[in-house]
Amino acid sequence: MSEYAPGNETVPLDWASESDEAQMLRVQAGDTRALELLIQRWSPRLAGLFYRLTGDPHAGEDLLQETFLRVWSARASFQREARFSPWLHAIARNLAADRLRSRERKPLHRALSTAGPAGATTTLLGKIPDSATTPFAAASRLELLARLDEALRGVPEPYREAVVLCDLQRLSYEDAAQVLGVPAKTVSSRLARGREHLRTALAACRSGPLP
Amino acid sequence: MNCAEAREGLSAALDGALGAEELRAVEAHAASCAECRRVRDELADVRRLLRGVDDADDVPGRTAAIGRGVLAAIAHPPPTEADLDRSRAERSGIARRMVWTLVGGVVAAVLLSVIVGTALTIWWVRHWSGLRAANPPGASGPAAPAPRSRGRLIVSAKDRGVRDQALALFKDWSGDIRVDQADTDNRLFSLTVDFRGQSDEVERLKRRLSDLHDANASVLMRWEFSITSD
Ligand SMILES: [Zn+2]
Repeated sequence: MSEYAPGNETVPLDWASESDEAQMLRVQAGDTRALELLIQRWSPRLAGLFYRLTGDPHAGEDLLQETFLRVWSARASFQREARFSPWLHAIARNLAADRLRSRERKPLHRALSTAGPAGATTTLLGKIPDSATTPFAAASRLELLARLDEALRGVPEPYREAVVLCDLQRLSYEDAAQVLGVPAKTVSSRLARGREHLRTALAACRSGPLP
Repeated sequence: MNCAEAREGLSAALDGALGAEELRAVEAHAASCAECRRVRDELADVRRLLRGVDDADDVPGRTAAIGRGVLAAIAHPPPTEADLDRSRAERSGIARRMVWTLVGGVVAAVLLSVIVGTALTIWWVRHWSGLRAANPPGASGPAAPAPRSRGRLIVSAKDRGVRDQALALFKDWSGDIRVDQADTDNRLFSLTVDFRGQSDEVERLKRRLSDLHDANASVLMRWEFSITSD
C-alpha cells in the first residue's frame, strides 16, 4: 500500500474524516503520519496558489516541500484554537514572496511572463467547470481562461495577492488579512483594485452590453 | 459619495463585507449612476469567473514525492552553519590527538580482538546449539489464520457526506487511506481506500457499498471497487 502513503506509513482510516486542526495537534505531538495527511489534503491547492503567486508553473515542487517542512519546524507556534488554513497560507505566501524577491533583478512582469516553457500554464487553464456560466459569452471558455491567466499576471503584486487569496483560494477577508499581516480593510481595498485591473483587462472579451 | 469612493464599496458589497450604513451609501450612489451600475455588474462577472476556476493542481505522484521528501528531511535534517563550524573545529583538534592515540590504539585493538574473538566464538556455539534444542525441526507454527480479503475503493464525488459514509463502511477493516480535498468548500474530494479484513465480511461490505453507490449515483464522479480473497 506504500504507493498511497508518502512515507510508507499507515494512516488510520478514521483520521481522514477529522479536521485539519485535529491533524495539526497530532503533528504538534510529533506524529508525522498526520503531517502526511495534511500534505495529501493541501498539496494540490497550494500548488495552484504558488503558481498564481509566482507565475512559475514549476515553482510548486520545492515550495510545497519547504512549506510542509516549515509546518513541521514551526508546529509549536500553532495555537490550539487557531484555524489551520490561514496559518498554512501565511507560511506558503511568505515563501512565495521570498521567492519573488530573490528574482528581483528581473522586472516582475518579465519574470512572470518568461517563467516556464510555453504552454506549461495550460495545465491550470482547462479546469474551469463546463457548467460555469459567465456572461463573457463571445469568448470561448479556453480563450477566456487564457486571458484571465494573462490578466492576472499583469496585476501588481499586492493586489494580485488579494485576488489570489480571496477569489481563487476563497479565503475570507479576515483570513486573508491574517495571512498578509494587514487589516481586513486593506484586504478589501487591494481586492477591489485587483478586480478592477481584471475587469478592464477582460473587457475586450465581452460580447456586448449586459442584459 | 463620488464614483471613486463607490468603486471600492462595490467590490466589497459583492462579498457581503460592507456595514449596513456603507452599503446604503454605495447603493444610493449606484442607483443614480449608470456607469457605476455597469462597473458593479462587470465586477460581479469577474468575481464569478475567478471563483469558478478550479485552481487545485493535482499532478499524479507529486503529493507522494513531496511527502517522502519532507519526511526524509525531518528524519535527517541538513546540517546548519553552526553544526558545520563546530565539526570543523572538532576535526582540527581531533587530528592532533589522533596521531598520539594511534600507536596506543593499534596495540589495544590487537589485544581486544583476540579477547572478543574468543568470547564471540564461545557465545556463538552455545547460542546456536541452544536454539536448535529449543526449536526442533517439524514443530508446528501458530494455528492457520482465517481467510482474509483485500481490495481497493476509489471514489470521487462532490459531496462530503459520501466520503464520510464510505469511510464508515470500513470501520471494521484495517488499511491505508488517501483523501484529497480539491476545493475550498471541502466538497469535492477523492478517496482511495486500500483495505484488508476477514473474508466472511466481504458480502456484507459489497452489499453496503452497492447501496451507497446507488443512493449517491448522481454526485459520484468516479467509483472503482475491486476485492480479492486470499
Ligand atoms: Zn458612479
